[in-house]
Amino acid sequence: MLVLGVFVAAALAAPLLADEANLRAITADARDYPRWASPAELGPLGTDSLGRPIWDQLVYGSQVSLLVGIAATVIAIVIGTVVGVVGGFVGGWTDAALARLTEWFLVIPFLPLAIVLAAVLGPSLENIVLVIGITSWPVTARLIRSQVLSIKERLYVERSRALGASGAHIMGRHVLPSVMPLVIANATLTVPVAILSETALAFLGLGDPTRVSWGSMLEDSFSAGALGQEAWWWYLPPGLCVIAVVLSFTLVGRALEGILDPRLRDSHAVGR
Amino acid sequence: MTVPILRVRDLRVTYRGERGVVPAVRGVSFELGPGETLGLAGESGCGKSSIAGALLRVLPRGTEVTGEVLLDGEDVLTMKPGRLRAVRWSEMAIVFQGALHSLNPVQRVGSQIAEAIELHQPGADARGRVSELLELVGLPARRAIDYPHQLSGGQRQRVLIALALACNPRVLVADEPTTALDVMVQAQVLDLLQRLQRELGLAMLFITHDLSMLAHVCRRTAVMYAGRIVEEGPSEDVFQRAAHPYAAALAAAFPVIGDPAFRKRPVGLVGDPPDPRELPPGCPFHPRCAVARPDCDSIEVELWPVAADRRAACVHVLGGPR
Amino acid sequence: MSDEPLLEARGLHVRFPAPRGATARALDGVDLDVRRGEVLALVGESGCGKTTLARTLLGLERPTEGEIRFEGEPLRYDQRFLRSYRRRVQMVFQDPMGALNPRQTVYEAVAEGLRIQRLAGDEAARVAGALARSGLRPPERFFERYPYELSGGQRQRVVIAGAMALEPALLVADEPVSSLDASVRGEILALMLELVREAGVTVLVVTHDLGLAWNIADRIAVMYLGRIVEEGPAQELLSRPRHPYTRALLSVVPEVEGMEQQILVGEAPDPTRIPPGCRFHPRCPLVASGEAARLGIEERCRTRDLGLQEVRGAGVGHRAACHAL
Repeated sequence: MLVLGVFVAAALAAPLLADEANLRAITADARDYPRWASPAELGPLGTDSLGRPIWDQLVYGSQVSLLVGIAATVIAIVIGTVVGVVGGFVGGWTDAALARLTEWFLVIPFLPLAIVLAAVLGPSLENIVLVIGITSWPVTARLIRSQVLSIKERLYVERSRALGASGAHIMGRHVLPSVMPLVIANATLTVPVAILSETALAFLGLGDPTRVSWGSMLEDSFSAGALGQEAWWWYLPPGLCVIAVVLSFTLVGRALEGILDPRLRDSHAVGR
Repeated sequence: MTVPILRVRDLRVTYRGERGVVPAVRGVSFELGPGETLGLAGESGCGKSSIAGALLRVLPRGTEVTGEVLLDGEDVLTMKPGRLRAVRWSEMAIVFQGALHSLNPVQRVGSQIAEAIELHQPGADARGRVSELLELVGLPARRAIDYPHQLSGGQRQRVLIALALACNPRVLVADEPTTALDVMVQAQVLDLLQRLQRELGLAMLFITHDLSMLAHVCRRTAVMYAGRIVEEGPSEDVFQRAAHPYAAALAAAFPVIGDPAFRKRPVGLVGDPPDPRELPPGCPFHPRCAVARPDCDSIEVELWPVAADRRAACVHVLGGPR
Repeated sequence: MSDEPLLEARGLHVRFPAPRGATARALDGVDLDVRRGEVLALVGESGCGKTTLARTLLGLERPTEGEIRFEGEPLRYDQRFLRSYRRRVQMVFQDPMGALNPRQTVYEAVAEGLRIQRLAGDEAARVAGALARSGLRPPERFFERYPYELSGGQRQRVVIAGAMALEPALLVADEPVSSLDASVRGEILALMLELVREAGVTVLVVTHDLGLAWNIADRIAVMYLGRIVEEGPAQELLSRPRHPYTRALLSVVPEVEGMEQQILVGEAPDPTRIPPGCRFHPRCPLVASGEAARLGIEERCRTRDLGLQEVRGAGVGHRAACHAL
């Protein structure tokens, strides 16, 4: 949670923490930084092959990574939840049709589609979000659907029906509240996947060339031969950042799950 | 009385889990002679199933078990693992409740029974013995090639009984063997158990929540509450003329059909069985007891003779003031 | 007790598709009257169709054939009718833990019906009243509790309170105490009798337990393979059962004294293959012992299906479906 807070704060406060101009070092006239500077030579994290400070890239990269991660997740979760809930709850041929659609999207391999879309639509940030979003919803949809199906069979739903409840009431009072924790937990688990996807795409050179992200940093460092140069300060920070963000989202997801379930909440209280 | 085959002395079972210390069994003693039947009745959480687990030492790791479980004079609780394995099943076997969970769903029932035989009697004619056992419990021998899901609930329970008898034990522990079965099937299984007990001369400890059943199946009955035996004696007496108010209330929960005393008059106890983690002080039954005395919250009475062969743990049995 | 039944079922059939193209006849021609103010016990083994019958009477299941009338009016299956119907007919479930949403507090669970039915008035007061009447006192202490914090008996009281908050005319209770500890059962049954006496509700209790029927029922209907095979006043039916199935069922109850056990062979029969003739004949002790042949009815037992008929020489309303009568 704390780690996540630091990253979000860093992304939001990027202009305060770093100088955006430094990212465009290539085009800038004043190359006031040496190339391949190690952190010891130039704080805090040294520079890359073009003399751009790693720190500034890292801070601005967090903006892109988090934005892509969250935006793509929102798209995936919204589509996934709607498809899953509608399919599971309505049932019948609607469900069958949605299930086919889900499976269809599920079997499309992610990378080729992403490459094709990126090629067709052009490598922009929005397109990356879109690509990641529409390729990651089927997993959510299937998960939500199975959860809805199981809740629909619960005795308390039957009790509610016996009390005279309509479908909408059952949906609003019993089904949605019960799937929400799953949705949220799933969302926090989708964010890291999306961030990794963005990193992967950027690493393959399919990212937005006008923006710096952690993925593009890795790509730059790789293509510039940072590994051979033993310029660990270039590729290690973005890699660690990805791992830290992914991990913290996952942990937050777990924590949220606990908070939203009254039974777990109580057992936590006892544990404390 | 003959020399008991099973003698349990001051058995205590304490679970230590995340949610604190749970004293499930708090000092239980009983004896079982060869060919004798003893019923152990009580509600959920009274510790009756923990006793079954302790007898065969199949409780989860970290559970604290003290006291003595003497099987033919040898303490099961201090046996070495190798000796314990030999004794389990060949001396004392158990029939669990929930026949679906106790059988491996992906293995034919015949080979599950054969497995038990081969473990204890290597080189025996397992196949022949399996057929023999299935016939014994009233199943055709060809059922050996069935998987558990192909059998009905009653048939699965029969398989479990066959499994328990695989190594000719002398003591049979039956833990709620008929729960979750229909009345008619329940009667079939009970009938079978009684027949086997008589024919094979088994000593049987029959654990159940259904006190009324014990009057037919067991000669003696012990009623448990909050980890202790609160009354014991001949089954008929305990069921019909219980001395302990809890045993009486439990008996009343099983109305005698045809008896006008129960007609349109359901009887229950106020409150719920206590949480073993937070037992009331004194006699643990006093908060639900209709005849509790003011001092019941400070004294916990030991089992006390009521009549020849009958004991109960209640201040009213002691008679008079104190 | 007025003469017009509160609820009538006529010729109810419910069929389900079963695996391998078979059809399960869960209800196979059920006629049943529930009279105002009575406690009627519907008794049978698992798979006999008693739960399906309860669900069908509640309108949770639609009969394939047949009609249900409530206060003389036929049941319809549109949303509006069902909502108003369910205000009058409520249900209590076997497993109170499952019947309560683990995320809802006791207050929400009891108030849910009031909100669905849009009953005017002071919601909190009604919830409190229903809880108190169900024996959860003081009710305010339970408002904010969650189901997992309650004992089994308390949960069942919450379910009952949720149903009684709507002030129904009929309470259908499906095995209301079978998941509860024995010492707690009596209190819940006593509560149900109290509701009959004080709130004037009629109770249909579905159970496998004849002792429970003796404990609380005015009348009993015994089901076997989707049909009612015997019905009558509880006292009369349990002291002088006429149908061989009822007799067998009663003989294996441990609480019955002085009756020779008649353990039927086989298990709950298969509703996809209802035998021709009297549906009980393959397991019937009368047929097996040759008694039916002696009476000269064996042929009829094997070939002729029959409905309930008045038992001669018994009390009014004691009916059974057996050729031997």
